[in-house]
Order: sequence, then C-alpha cells, then structure tokens
Amino acid sequence: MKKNFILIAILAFTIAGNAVSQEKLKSAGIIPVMSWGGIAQSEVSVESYKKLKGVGVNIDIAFFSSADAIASALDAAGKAGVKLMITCPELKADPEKTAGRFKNHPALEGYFLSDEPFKVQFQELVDWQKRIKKADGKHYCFVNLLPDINSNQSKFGTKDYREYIDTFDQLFPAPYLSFDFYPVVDGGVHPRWYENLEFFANKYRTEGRPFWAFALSTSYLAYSNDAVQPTLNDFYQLYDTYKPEKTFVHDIPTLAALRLQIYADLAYGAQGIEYWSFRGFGSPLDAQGKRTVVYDRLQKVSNEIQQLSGVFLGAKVISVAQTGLDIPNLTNRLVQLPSPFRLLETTGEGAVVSHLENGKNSFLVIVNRDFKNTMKLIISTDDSVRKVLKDGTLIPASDYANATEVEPGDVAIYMFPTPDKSAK
Amino acid sequence: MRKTLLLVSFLLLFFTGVSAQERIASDRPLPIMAWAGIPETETNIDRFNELKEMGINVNLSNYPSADAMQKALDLAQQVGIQMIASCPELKSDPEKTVKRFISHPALAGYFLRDEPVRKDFAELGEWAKKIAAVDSKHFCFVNLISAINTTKTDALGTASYAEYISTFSKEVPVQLLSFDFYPILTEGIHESWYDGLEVFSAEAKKLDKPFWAFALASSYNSLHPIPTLAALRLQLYSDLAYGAQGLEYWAYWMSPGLRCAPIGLDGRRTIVYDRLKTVNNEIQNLAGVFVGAKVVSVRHTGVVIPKGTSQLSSLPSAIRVFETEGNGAVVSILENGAKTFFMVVNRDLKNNLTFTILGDESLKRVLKDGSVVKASTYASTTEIEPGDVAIYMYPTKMQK
Repeated sequence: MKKNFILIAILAFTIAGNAVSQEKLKSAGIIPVMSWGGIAQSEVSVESYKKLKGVGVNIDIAFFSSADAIASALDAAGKAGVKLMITCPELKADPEKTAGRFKNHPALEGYFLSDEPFKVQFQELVDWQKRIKKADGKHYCFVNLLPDINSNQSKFGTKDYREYIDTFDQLFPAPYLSFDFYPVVDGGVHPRWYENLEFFANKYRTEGRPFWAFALSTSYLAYSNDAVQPTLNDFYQLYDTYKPEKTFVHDIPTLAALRLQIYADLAYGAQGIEYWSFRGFGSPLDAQGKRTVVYDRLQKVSNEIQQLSGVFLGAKVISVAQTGLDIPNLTNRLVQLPSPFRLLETTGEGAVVSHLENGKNSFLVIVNRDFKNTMKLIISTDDSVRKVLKDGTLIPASDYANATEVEPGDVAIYMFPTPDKSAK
Repeated sequence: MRKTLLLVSFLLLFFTGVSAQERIASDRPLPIMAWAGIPETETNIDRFNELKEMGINVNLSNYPSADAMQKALDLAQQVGIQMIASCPELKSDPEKTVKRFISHPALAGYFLRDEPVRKDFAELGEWAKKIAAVDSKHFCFVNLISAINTTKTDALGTASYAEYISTFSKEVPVQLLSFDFYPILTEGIHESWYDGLEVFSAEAKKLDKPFWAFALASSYNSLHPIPTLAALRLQLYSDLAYGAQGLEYWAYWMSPGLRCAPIGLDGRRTIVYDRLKTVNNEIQNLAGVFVGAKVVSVRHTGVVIPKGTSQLSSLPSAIRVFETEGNGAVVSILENGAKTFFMVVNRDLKNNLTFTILGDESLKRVLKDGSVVKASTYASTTEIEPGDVAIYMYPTKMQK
C-alpha cells in the first residue's frame, strides 16, 4: 500500500501545477445586494454581519429601536465589510441631528424612510428626506415602492400604477427606484411579474432611472384581500392560520427559483438586488440565527452574480423580449436578434432574452423562465460572439455546440462588440 | 444617473473585506481521468487546455503510434495533465516503449486493457510484469468489468465478483484497481450499483490497493439519459463515499453511437462539458477529504436500502442525532489522518433530502468550497440537493 501511495503522490504532484490562464470578463465592481433586516438588533456583532457578508449581502437594512443601537451596528457592520441602510425613531423625530450623527460613518449606505407607501404619504416622505439632506448631502434616502398587483390597486391613491411611480419619482430624489414583487408562488410564476419588470426596464431605458428589484429569500403565506389577515405572530407560525382557498404559498426558495428571480431582474436592467427576508420559516437564518439550506443557495447565486458584474452593472437595456409558445402578459415576443446572432431558438416554456449594452461590450442574456425544467437552447452566432461562463471566463461561442441547455431558472450569456455608432 | 454612478463607486470602494476562514487542505489533487480523451487528430495545445479547464488531470486516448503518444505527452506536460500511455508499440515491444516514455514528466502509467475476463488475466500479467521490469515507478492500468450481478459471474469466468477482483489482483501486478458501472438509467438507479461498490470497496481494502471508479459523462443508449448535474454528483460522491481514490469519465470525446459527450462530434462543447466542469471543481475543493482517506464504514438510511448494503445503526461519538427523511442517504465515515469525515450523499436524483444532525462541539461542517465552519453554525435540520453531499468533520480518535 505504501508503494501505491508514493506512486499516487508522484502522479498528484505532477498534475497539481500548471493552471490554465483564460480571458475573463472585467469586473465592473460589486453589484449592490441588500438584505432586509438581515441582522436583528439583539444580534448585532461583527460575527453576525460576517455571516451576512458570507451569504453575499453587502448592504443590510437596520430597523433598530434607537440611534445608539444604530451606532453600534454601524461599527460592527463596518468591520465585517457590510454597509447599513439605517432607520430608528430618532431619524423621524430629529432627522437633522440623527443624520448629522451618522453622516461620516464609513459603513453608512443611506437612510431607510418607508416601505410600500401610498401616494398620500409621498409628501411627508419628501419633507423628511429634505431635512435629512440638509444635514447629510452625501448619502441618500431609500423608499421601497409597491408592486403592480391586483390587490394593491386601492393602495396607490392614483389613477394607475404609472401615475403612482411617476408621482413618487418626480417628488422624491432617490438615486434609484425600488419595488418588491415575489413572483414564485403556488408552484408557478405570478402572471404579472414580467409586466412589472417591463415597466421598470422601460423607465430605465427611456428616462435613465435605474431600479433595484427583489428575490424572495424566505417562505411565507400571503393572504387574499378578503381573508382575515393574520397577526404578525400567526404570520410566522404559518400553518396555524393556513386556509388553502384564501392563501398563496411562497415555498422555501430553491436554487432555481432564486436564480430565476435574480437573473430576470438583472436581465431587465436591475442595478441592485434585494432579499426579503432573513428570518422566519424557510429563511437563510433560522430563529437562532443559524444557517439554513437557503443560506447556501443564496450564497451560491450571490457569488455567481458578482462574477458577472461586468455584464450587469452599469449596463443599458437595449431590448428585452420573450420566447416560447405563450409569452408572459404585456411582454414582447422576440422578433429580432442583434446582428452577430444568426439563430436563437428555445424549447419548452421559453426564455427572457435581454440585449444589454455595457460600454464597448454588448450582451445577450438568456434566462430560462422555467424554474423546474431544463431548457434547450439552439444558438448560432458569428465569430465575434463569446460565451460568458458562470465564473466570468470568456470563450468563443463557437467552442460550444449550437444546441445546448440552460438549467432551470438559470442564465446563458453571450458577449459581442457594441457596434460603433459614430461610424454611421 | 451620474449621481447613481458616483454612489455605486462609493459602494465599490467599501465592499472589500474578506474574512479568513479555515479550509480543508490537500497537498495534492484527486486524479480525475477522461476516457476517450482528445483524439490523435486533435492533438494540440488548445485541446489540452480545454481538457484541463474541465477539470481533467489524467487523460487516456488510444494513439496509433508511439510518436503520436510522444507528441501528446509533450503537450500534456505543458498544461499540467498526466497521460496514461496507450499505443500499439506498448504491446508489440513493451520494454523499448516503456524505456522511451519512462522519464517523461507527463507520464502517469500504461494502459493495458479494458474489461478483461478471467481467461485474459495470464496474458495481462505477463505484459504487466514486462513493463514493471523496466519501470516500477508508473502504474499499469486495467479497467475491470462492472458488477452488474455480484454472484452470477459465469461470463467473467469466476465464481463471484469478489473472486474476479482478487484473482485479477493476484495474477496481474497492478498498483491500483478500476471498475466501470453506469448506474443512472432513464427509469432510475441500477439496483446492483451499490452492491458493486460494496464488493469492490471491500476487495480493494482487503488487497490494500486504492481503486478508481466511474461516472458516465455521455449517453450510449436509450437506457442512459444525458447526464444531469444531480446524476453526476450522485455517481461521483457515491464513488468517493466508498473510498475511490480517483474518478473516471467515459467518454470525453463523442464517437458515433454516443449522445452528448462533453465534446461533440463536431469538436464543440456540449452542456455536459459545463456540468462536468462544475462537479470537478467542487470535488477538487474537497480533495482534502478524499485523497488518502480510509473507509471506516459505509451505511445507508431510508426505509428501503439498496441491495447488498447495510443499514446505518450506530453513529460516531461526535454525532448525537442523525436522521434522514425521504429516500435516504449513503452515510460514509472516512478517516484521513487527524480528521475524520462523516459524509452524507442524497441517493435521490430528483428530490431534496431533509436531514437532522446534532453533534458535539468538535463537529464541523465542510462547505462545498472547502471552507470549514462549526456544525452548529447551521440549523440542525437542513437539506441536501438531489445527488449532492453534505460533509461533516471531527477529530480522529487516536488509538490507545
């Protein structure tokens, strides 16, 4: 046996060297990945924030009960390399003093003002942010807006969703818009999700307003409007109040479901990703703050997207279209490909096909809309096209067979030179 | 927009902190071998780089001449791949051919034969002895037939599969053993696969020889589906759980009759290339678990366990509670120096395995990237993806 090990050691020693060096996509920086309430006030420590950093989060929203608690959290988060979007009662009661206290902290990302406000609340939010801005002109205020789903219609306080968003956007000077939509529900994809992404992508494309979008990182039951709404406690106890006919089930996120949400967000041009939430049944961390399987899944996909930041960060959306026999509501069917592509066909449910431009490089991002089955993809290109692998490696697209597959909810990305517009 | 970019740049400057973590280290990689590797007509540096990039570090291609073999060895050396030499001259004039290649840094060993039966052993033994007389440093490689039925072995020429292995080892002086079994079928997992692994692992242990085992990297008939990530993981992690010290893929390069090998008939990569790259990368991150490990025990959980295997009935002292739901798991205890590993492979190709584990303070979890965290960092009930693995580590109990 000893002889065998010597032999294998010789073999191993020889095969250990010589790494293959390959061209890689240049990083455009770090894609902002923000958790909602990742670390609770009672758990603030450098270790806790490292846990968050480990799952790929680089900003956490801290909803804490005092400015002193925020101060401790900023110190701990900063040491772990996480920034905080802060809120506490003092930020409301005395915005100038509170912003003045924290404005120079290096771990400060911004100020959290509101989640899903109605139109009637906008003016109050604008006034609040003005007071903060007076004390701190460097950081921004954050508000997350409602998604456009049927149960929200009465909440907008405007004639329609467009007016709701446009009114906010005109009044409130945020560097980007944010909206939450949890599309993976009852074993399928919500029929209105892509329509929402279309809306924000269009606003980004036509008005230059970037947006951040969500992936649901937990499991929860949503209640239809006519059902008795559960108390918060019941809400987290889930099945105590479970009424199948009145309830929408958001199951524990799978890797494929997370990928679908995140890659579709990015394909539509999202410039930041948000995770809700980190606590409760099916969350990345359990009630004791221990990692669950969702932590590992989120970590995997968070790592993936950072390797692809050169595709998404700062990219302009040229077009987004869909393939498949039935395409989602209010989306566009793919009818034209960028010139380096000769053929693109998919089988099964179909794909989101996004054309992004990022400086000298343009990208065709193809997301499998099916989060349960692999999608066959047939693609033929000219020699200028390169495939962007998951680790950011670039290789000629022609190194791959024309017929390939995309795993459930996953993405295939191709890069080609941005046409020189000045040459015309 | 400019404001946004400014903000984003601020973020970029900030997000740099990386925490130093304990990692599972290995001073050498696990051998991962391609069968039907780069064909002779494609012998060039780009192809060898492509092979290396997929995670292959040992290549087997049958070359038409010793000169062609020499050319491949030279290229393999440049990219850091080892070759198992295979050319007609190795048979017609073993001594001269071995002398030609013996000092080549890219030489791993010599390929003699695939799937011999009992009556072939004597001739193979003679051949191996001739090679060993010139070169005792590199191994002779013979791949044995799979254990489709471990007791009905008339076709092999022995009374049992165990006898087939032991007789081979007695008559053919090889330093490592290898066998192929392609267990993933369109309708499920072959019922004899784990039985074969049990027998092979036990015989290798008795013979004090390491063994290498396979995963199917293509599909050769309608019974075998195109390999998915889950199917690849299940094969490879089960092999490793049973103590395999090297992994083999059949086949890397497509030939007529095959479907979806990593490299197609047109020389282009297929989706299987990417899947293999993913799992190979994973496995090398965990090389410190497997390379040089000794199997202490392999057991199975589940209401129905595979033929020829044993039910898990006791736990190491570092683990107080261990329970699985669903179809069950392979549970292997591997000892590797001062560290012992508790390895759980989800036997189900389609569904997650939920399991509960509670250990003492010494219990750590080895993550897929090779980092090590306290097991208590994780909730006690968690899941393993289809075909995938969870690995725990605790200190080896030193013998008094």
